[in-house]
Parts: sequence; C-alpha cells; structure tokens
Amino acid sequence: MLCLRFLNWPIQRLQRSLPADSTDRIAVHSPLPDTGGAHTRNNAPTGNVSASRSESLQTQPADSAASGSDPGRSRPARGGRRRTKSRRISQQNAVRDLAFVRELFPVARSGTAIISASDAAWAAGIRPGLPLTEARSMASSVSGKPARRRQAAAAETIFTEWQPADDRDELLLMAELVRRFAPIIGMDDGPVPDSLLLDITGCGPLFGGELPLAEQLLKTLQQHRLHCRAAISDTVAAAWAFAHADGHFLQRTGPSQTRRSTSTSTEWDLPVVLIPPGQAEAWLHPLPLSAGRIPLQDSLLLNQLGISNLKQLLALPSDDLPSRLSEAAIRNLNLLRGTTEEIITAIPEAHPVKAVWTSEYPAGGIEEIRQVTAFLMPQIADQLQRRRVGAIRVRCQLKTEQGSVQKISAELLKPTQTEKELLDVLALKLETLLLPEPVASVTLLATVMPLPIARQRDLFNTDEHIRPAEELAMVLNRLSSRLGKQAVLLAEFSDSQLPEQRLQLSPVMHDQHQGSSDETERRLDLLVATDDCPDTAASDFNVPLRLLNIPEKLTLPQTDVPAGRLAWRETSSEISAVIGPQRMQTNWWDDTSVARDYFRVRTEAGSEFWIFRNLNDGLWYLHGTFE
Amino acid sequence: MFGWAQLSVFLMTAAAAESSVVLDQLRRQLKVCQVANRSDQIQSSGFQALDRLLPDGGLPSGCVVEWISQSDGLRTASLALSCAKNLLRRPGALAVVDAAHEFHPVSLSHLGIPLSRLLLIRPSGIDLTESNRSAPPGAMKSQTSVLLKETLWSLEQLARCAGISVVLAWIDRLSVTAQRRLQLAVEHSGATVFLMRPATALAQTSWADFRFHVQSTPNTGSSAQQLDVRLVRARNCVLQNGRMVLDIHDETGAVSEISELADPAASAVSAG
Repeated sequence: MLCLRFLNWPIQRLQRSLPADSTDRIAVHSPLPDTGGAHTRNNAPTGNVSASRSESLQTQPADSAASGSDPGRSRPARGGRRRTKSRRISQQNAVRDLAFVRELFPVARSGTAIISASDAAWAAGIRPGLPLTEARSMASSVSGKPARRRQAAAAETIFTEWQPADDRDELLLMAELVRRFAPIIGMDDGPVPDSLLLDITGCGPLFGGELPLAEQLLKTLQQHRLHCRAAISDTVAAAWAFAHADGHFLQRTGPSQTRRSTSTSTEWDLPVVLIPPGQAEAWLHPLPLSAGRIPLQDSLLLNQLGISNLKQLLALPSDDLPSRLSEAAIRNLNLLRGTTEEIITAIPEAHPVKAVWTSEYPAGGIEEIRQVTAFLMPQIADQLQRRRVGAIRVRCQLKTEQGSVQKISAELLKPTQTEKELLDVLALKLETLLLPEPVASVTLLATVMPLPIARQRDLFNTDEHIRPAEELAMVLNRLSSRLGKQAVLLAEFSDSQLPEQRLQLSPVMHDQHQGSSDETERRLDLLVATDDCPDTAASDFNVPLRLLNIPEKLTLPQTDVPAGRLAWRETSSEISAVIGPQRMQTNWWDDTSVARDYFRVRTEAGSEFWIFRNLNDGLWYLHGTFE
Repeated sequence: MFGWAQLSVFLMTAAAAESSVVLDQLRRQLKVCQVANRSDQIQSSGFQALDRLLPDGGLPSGCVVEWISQSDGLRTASLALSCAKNLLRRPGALAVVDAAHEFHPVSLSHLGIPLSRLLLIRPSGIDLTESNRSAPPGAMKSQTSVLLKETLWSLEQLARCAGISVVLAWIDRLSVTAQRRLQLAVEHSGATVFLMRPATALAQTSWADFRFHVQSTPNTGSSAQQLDVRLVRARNCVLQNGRMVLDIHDETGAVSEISELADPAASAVSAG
C-alpha cells in the first residue's frame, strides 16, 4: 500500500492557480462568523488583496477545464446530475472537515483563524491557529532587514477563505495523474484529507521495484508542481502513519530540510519512506499519536495519562481500551495492528479509456456491430498505449434509436494493449447478444491496469519467445468470454472428506478486486509448471475419476456386502469382486448427516464401479465409475 | 523356351518391384516431412509395452490419440492420464473438457499429476448466441447439440494453444471436419489430444494418429484387474495386430505390464 500525501494541500491547490514564479504569500483561514460555515461559497476578498485576484484563485479550477492541457487541473466532463450529487457529498464532508478544524484550532470556534499558510507566509510569521486579524496586521508590517521589507512590499498576501469541498474535489482529480501507477486508487477517508491511497500490490516489478515506483510517481507529480511525500507499507494505516509522521495538516509546502532516516530514496528531494514487509509495527513505535489517526479528544486523554507515542499505545492491553477510548480510536488502532483490513474505495476514472461511434444510419445486425467495434478498438488501443496501461475489461454499450441501452462486458486474465486480443474476447461476447432494434450508438469503455513487464522479442527465432503462460492466458480469455467464467475452472482440495465436497472449483477469471495481478501470474505459472507431483495417499486411488452429480439408486439386496447382479443404465452384469468397505461419516454437528460404506465393485464384464450403502436407509447407490 | 509371356511376366515383376521401391521412397519422404513438422519430439508413454507398439517408440508431440473403451469403468481415462503424466514433463497445462460435469480429479495426484496443472473446462450447453435465440421456438437447437458444439469449440481452442500440453475430452460423435480441424490445431501447437470414446466409435472413420481399444481380459483368478490394450490404428503405418496387457493392482493402483504376453512381432511397422 502506498500513501501519497500532498503536503499542505489547501495551499498547494491555490498555488497551482498562480504563476510559477509568483512570490505571493497565501494564507487560508476558517469561514468568517457571518458566512455560516464552509459549505457556503464566499469569494469576497478578506485581506489586502484585490477582488479580482481572490476570485481568480477561487474560479481557476473551473476555467482550466476548457484548456484540458493538464489532467490534474481540469475537471471531468460529467453529467449535471452526477456533478450535483458529487458536490453534495463533498459539501457534507466539508462540514465534517470544518468541525475537525474548529477542534484543532480553538480560535476558530469563536472567530476566524488561519488554518494553513504558504512558505512565504510562514516566513512573514503567519502560522496556522493565528487569529485572522492578527495575521493581517503581521502581513502589513513586516519587520526586519531593508531587503526583506522591500521583498515583502513587492509581494501581496492573499487571505482566502478555506473551501474544503474544493480541496476534496481537486484531490480526486489528482488521482488521474497517478492512475498508471496502481489499479486501485482511493482517497483518505479521514477529516481534511490530503492523501491518496494507492494499492500497488504486485505493481512494483512493473517499475523495477516499489522504491523506483514511488520515485517515478513523485517525479511525475513534481512536473505538475506538486510537492508530495510517499510512504509504502504493508497496510493502509501504516502507510498513512509514515506519510503523516510529523503531524497532520500543519505542514509547510516546501521539501523538508531534515531528511528522515527511514528514507531510502536516492534523490534528496524525493521523500520516500519504504518500510520492509512485516516490520511496520516496529517502525511505528516512535511516531506520535496523531500519525495513528487517533481522534483529538482521545489523544488529549492519552497525553494526560503519559502516553505520547504509538509504542506506548500499542503496548496497552487491547481488551481494556474499548471502555476508555472512542469507537473511531479503537477502529484505527486495529487498522494499525493489522487485525482489521482497510478497504480502499476506488475513485472512478474521470477520463476513462473510451471510444464512441454514432450514426444517423443505425447498425442493424451483429455483423455490423462487430465492424463498428473493429473500427473503435484501434482508438482504444491507441489510448492505452499513450497512457502506458493495459485493458483488463472492455465494456460495450449499445444504444438503440428508442434510447434503450444494452451492455456487455468482456474480461481478460491479464491486462493487454493488443487490439486483436481485445477484439477477440469482445466478438465472442457479441455472439451472445440479442438485438431487438437497430443500434444508433456504440460506446467502448476499457477498465485499465498497469501493464506487465514487456519482454524482449527475438526477431529471427519465432519459437524461443513463446511463453506457455502467456499463450495460456490468451486462450483462457477466449474460453471465459464464450463459455462464461464458471465454465473455466481450477481445482483445489478442500477440507471436507465427503467425496462430492472434496474438491473446491474456482473460476480462473476471478474478480479483479479479489486478486492481484501477482495472483493471476502465480496461477498461470502453476498451470504450466513442470514440478513433480507431491506424494499422495494411496486411498486416493479408491476414488473414481467419474463421480455422478447425484448418486443413483441401485436394486441390490440390503446386505452388508454388495452381491448379485448390478444393473445400471444400459449395462447389467454379475458382481465378481468386491473391495471394501471404506466408511465415510460426517460429524454429528455438521449440517448434513452422511454415513456411508463405500465399496469398489467389479463386474464380470470387467467394469469397476464405486457404490455405497447409505447407513441411514440401508439402500445401495452408485456414486461413480472408475474411468 | 523364352517366350513373350515370360518376358512380360519378368517385366511386370520388375515394374512391381520398382513401384514398391518408389512407394517406399515416397513414404520415407512423407515421413521426413511430417516428422520435421512435428517439432521432432517423441516422448515415452510411460509404458514400455505401449511404446513398443508405437511406430516411433513413443508419442510424438502434436498428435491426436483416441482411447476407445469397450464399456464404462475400465480405467481407460486413468490409463490415458498415466500417459499424460510423461507428456506433462514439458511446460503446459493439462486441460480436461468435461461436458458431463462428472470428472472428479481427486485421484489425479495419485496418477502423478499435480492438481495445480489441471484446467477444467465445463461447457454449460446453454446457447445464448443470437443465431439460436432469434430462431423460431420450434427450430431451437437441442441442448445436446449445443453442448457438442461448445465442447468441440473448446477442444479446438485448447488444442491450438501452445500453453497446453495435453487435452483430454470425452466425445461420442466427431465429424470428419472436426477431426481434421483438430489435427491441424495440434500440428500448430504441438499439444497432445486424448479423446475418450465409446465402443461405437470403432465403426466410425478416424483421422486420429493413434487409436487404442481398451477391453477387460477374462478373469484369470488374479486379484488384479487386467486390461487388454490394442493399437487398432496408427497413421502412416502398416499396422499389425499389436496389443499389450496391463495389470492394475487392487490395493495400490499400481499399473504393471505383463510383458510375456506381448508379441514382439505384433506391432506397427514404421513406414520410415
């Protein structure tokens, strides 16, 4: 898991709307008492800054949507209803953010307080928690050397009201900048979020390791004038803790001057914290309570008890804590310990890989639809190549003239950019489609994932680069598309001793959210591996290769050992040899009570059957044949 | 007296001898071409007696083998899987097309094949294709024919894949076209296809490289089950009456060959 923290996010968001060489001081303050809270927009200037400057800061993100040059600065072209809903959620969260800030800064409870300041503003003495009026007076009377006073006079101080909803919305857009680094990207769900959470499980090898991944990630963000810190650990909670080790929300924008000893980055200005697997808890010990996302009230209580770091907190007996700490504190503590799994809620893509076809002459049949998809797929492949990602699923939406929409989805085992491969699986799915009306519009949408490592192709020897696992992945895609996921299966032994439950069958094409690309690779490698078979019990020999789904009743005399003529389906023959019994009995506390005596029975015709006597009713059943 | 009749007989004999030589040469050339196309890999079946029956002393890569079982319960599939064990020494999965949904691979590991190598394909037989759904209700295809279609399609896809070493499937009916397609598929990939077929298939045309007929031998008083395996077809070979007898131990499941019953002369003679 990787936690990507955007240092001093409210200020960074505003600074992105200013020219790169701007020396303006920026300070963000809590809402004025008469504005009624953060959820109301107030663009009025509140400092020694002109109205036009302040408005430009507030409206810049919306304007930048038109340019579309920077994905991180443009808003997605969403439908009005969706935007309204998203906005409503943002504003609900903003109320929570404001409550948190008022808790953090006592001044903000009754008045207006500075909650975040740029580096230049810090240099001028403006600090979070300072009353707004005091900050204004400090900005207007900068003391010190003449050079500093001249510099201060040339620069303006921009005091602007905090807009937590905008912060959240902009943070969501940042996910698009880092989309190619992880298949699942979520946002920190705590108050005043400033981080993105990336599930990079299995992605490290694609970039040469987790550290190079983090460094490339930070370099990409630096190109967009974003200062970030990345922490990689086993769990989300630990990664978040290391990214917020020096406190939450009170962070200067610029790179830290004191480098952390845990950082293993090769470059000075790329602060990466990489915790070796399994060592997170030990590394967490010196961190403050705030890094553990412990609520402020609980932190105060713990401080009074002399507990100031996570080592002391984690050492406390977990059984006693629920009666003393809040529910949120206990939950976050469990997340830190790793006893509870933290699920990352994925941020939907703002700019999906998509291709659309519309025509006033609708497409009538499957063949025409297939031609349309063949026309659209190169566009999808082109987008995938430009973004350096692969498609793991292709969705096709067919809109008829009457407005009804049909959707089909084709999945792949491994992400690919290959147009032919994508077309293959989609064409097989299209065969299952029933089109009641002509189709006026076809939309293809690709769900993307990082690409596996590209391998070197041999120009002259065409056989050497054939990798069985890759060939297998392609045929599995086709089989799953045509026959369905449930038809292409892998088998594993289960704990049950009952023959019909002895095996556990699972689809090869598992849900992408349940398994990582590592797991897929592992499964494919096992399928083609040439390892020797482990030693097995000889009793397995007594289980036939063909097991009837429902045991079939036989007309044999109700004796302890089978005898007489065995008639089954079209065959009938005298029993010539019997081997057994082998008793199979479930525990009395199991749901299904089974008590059977199994026998291997050979007939005079040479056929061998697996039959059992049900000890509950005394009847004989045929359960399988030795094929 | 050396008449015209004797001369004509002499010439005919010489011509016949010459034609047989030419035929032999042609056979050899064909064989060389086919062997070259088959990635020149011959692998043992795991049974020496069976290898002796086979013209190249083993199973070549990229071949179709039919196993015809005289009746149910003769362990024919187990025998085929025992041969598959050797073929799985090269990278690739074992794919089983199980249209009946009755294949139960618990004993697979006992046959020497790890369960992790198994890919199980279970076609449902429900046709959702537009061609079938748009047809009038009376003309709807039966589930059996759809199942057969899906089974054959899966079989061909798997046989064409270089990531598959062995495909095993139970097929009752197989058209000549399907057999030819299957043959081309295995020649392309190098996979080995084992088709488990009922006794009725003996009367049908076969394009398989090898066809084995498995029967139970009369009980000789031994506690073990005995199987009589006959090679009834070998492609491009002059086939003689080759057979072997296998003994399957009741308790351990160990398969042993009864070599003294195998006739060394009763084997297929390679055309090469």
